[in-house]
Amino acid sequence: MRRVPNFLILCLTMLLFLSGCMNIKARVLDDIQLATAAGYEYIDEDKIELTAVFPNFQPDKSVKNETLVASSILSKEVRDKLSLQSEKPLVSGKLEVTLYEKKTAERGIKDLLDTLERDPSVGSNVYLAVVDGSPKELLNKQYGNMDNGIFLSNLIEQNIESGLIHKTNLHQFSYKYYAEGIDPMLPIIEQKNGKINLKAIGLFDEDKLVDQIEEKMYFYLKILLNRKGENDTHAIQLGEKTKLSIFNISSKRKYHIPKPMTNSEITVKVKLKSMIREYNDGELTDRKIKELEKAFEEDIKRNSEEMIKQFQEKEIDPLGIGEEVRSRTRNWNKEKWEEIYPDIKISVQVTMDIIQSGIVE
Amino acid sequence: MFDLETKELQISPFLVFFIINAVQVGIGVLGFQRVIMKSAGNDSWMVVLAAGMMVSFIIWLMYLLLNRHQKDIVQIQKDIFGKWVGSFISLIWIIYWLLIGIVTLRNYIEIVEVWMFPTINIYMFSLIFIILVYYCVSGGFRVVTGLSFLGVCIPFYLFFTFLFPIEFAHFRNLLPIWNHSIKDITFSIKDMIIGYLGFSTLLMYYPYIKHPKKSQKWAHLGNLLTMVIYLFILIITIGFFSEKQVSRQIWATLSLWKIVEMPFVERFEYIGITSWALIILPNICLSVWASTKGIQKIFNLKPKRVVIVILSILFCVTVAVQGREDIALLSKTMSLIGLCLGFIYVPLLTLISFLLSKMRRGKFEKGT
Repeated sequence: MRRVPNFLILCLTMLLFLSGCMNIKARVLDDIQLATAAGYEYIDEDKIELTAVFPNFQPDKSVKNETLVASSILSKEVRDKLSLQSEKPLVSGKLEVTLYEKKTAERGIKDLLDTLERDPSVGSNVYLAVVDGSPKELLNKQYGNMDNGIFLSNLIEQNIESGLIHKTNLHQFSYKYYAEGIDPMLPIIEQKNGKINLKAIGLFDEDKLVDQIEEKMYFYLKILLNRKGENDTHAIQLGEKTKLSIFNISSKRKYHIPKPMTNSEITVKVKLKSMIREYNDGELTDRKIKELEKAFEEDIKRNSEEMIKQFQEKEIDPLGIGEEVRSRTRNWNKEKWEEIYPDIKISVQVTMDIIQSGIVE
Repeated sequence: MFDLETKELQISPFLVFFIINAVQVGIGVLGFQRVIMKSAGNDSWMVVLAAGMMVSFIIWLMYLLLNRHQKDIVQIQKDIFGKWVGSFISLIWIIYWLLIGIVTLRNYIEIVEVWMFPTINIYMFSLIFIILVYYCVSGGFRVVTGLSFLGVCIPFYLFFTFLFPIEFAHFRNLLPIWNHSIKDITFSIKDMIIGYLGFSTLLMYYPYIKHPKKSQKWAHLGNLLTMVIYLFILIITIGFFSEKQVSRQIWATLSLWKIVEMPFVERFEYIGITSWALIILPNICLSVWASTKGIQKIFNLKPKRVVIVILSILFCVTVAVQGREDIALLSKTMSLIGLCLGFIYVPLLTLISFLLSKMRRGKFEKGT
């Protein structure tokens, strides 16, 4: 009986030595270059130029933004080429943002996404964005006391959280790319006077950028996109003098589809609960508030329907109306839906309720 | 007449709950979605329910058989088919149990290779793992049971991390219900049952349960927990991924973790995969224990030597199988044998045993 513990002790001591034979490459944080952002651009038919950003930590605790540029036919190969210029190996585990030049996005970004989807070390939380202009130039500048990957990711994250743009990341993009009845969207950013600006939202047809909607339409897009929302802000001008801005405490969206997969009308019902943030036409009486509600309902209805028309003309469906229809039909046929989608009448019904008007009357 | 073990070696009936659950929840949970959603799509949750119920039925049959004989399968088969044929069939069971261990370990190593360390030395990895298995199995069945208990309880926190993806889930994807024909759904049930396999080790450890009849309820509950785990993960998968996206994910459950972000850890898969070692350890231990016990019962050998032989086979096959295709082939073979044994042979055996006892009783009554 005493032989068993001895054997075990032997095994356990052996384990200590064996761990060295596991052939696992240890990667020490100080000895690698963590890429935080990457910019892609096609420079000719099938060559990609990749700009990688990594932080360079200075002795005085500040962070310097550094970039490397190389080009090749596949993005993992570019990474190897980038390593040739770098004193430490580049790894992609901390990738936060990837940028695509606008022309590249118009050509289709599916091939460029494969490396992100296939690599287990890249998370699904990576933000994707389209750049109006050169990603190389955009990434080359220093914008804050941090590297551009973190800066851009904070910028996009902040705007999603404060409700200005829709939720977006690598997972959402591939979800919508593969799903039937919804098309992806990505924010478009530009560099202007040394600042980065979230300029528009790019609309994709599968993986190709086909259209964009401007900043003033974000509000309509957001309330139509999400089943439940909050935090949206919006301002309108009525007549000559009345201007006001509201803040959404909650928004609810419901689809009413009486006969799915036919040409019959689809109604989108939106219910908003809002408060007034700014108003500059005298006193706010109850009657006035009723009028304002009416005016808002009008405005939202008109603009949203116009926006949906725009989508239908381009044959894209970023709102996921197809998905709503799909979940109401058995044996859904994608081709048939795509055929009838542009001609369906889609109307929006808005009910607005202003429940607060701030701390003054 | 009865062949139960002595009291000191037995376990309480409620522990069967943990053993059944530990042996069912293994490597299959990480990637079952792609296979069943291929033909059943958004209706796959029904497949999980149906497969769970069928497995529950088989467990009920097994108890019917075992309660009648109060013996393990090796001896039941010896009684019914005689020494040679009975032992031969027992040998098939043993090979099947051993295959469960091999498939689990090899698939786990593959996941470690693909997700964490592409260059990992699989000889060393399997050797270290097998030494651990030896340590547990040589402690006897009570140690394996204890390990199953820990293997269910400790990693249970992992299932809460699947709540993170809900933020991005579109649960409308579950609609419309009955989007697929009954034929498609039945077809997937076969693939889903593979996720429940392993419960047949019950046939081997039955004599080790104190008041075995009381344990039936716990076995069914253990199976129910497995079903709930599968259902929970599947519903989140259907909401989180679009259907075509799932068809691309080899390990959809691990891909769910890619979205988890916590302040102290950037990528949760690394914690998840390492914690999964604790889930598959009782799985392998139990299958190795069952095959060891079987061999020992058939040939009357010393258990220690048998364990070493069994583990050597486990090691050799594990390192010999390389590449995804071979691994898939091995898994397929295992599940085919499992399906035949569990869903064709066990009902048949129960029937034969029932008829035989009727006949013998008839003879006995005639004789007197």
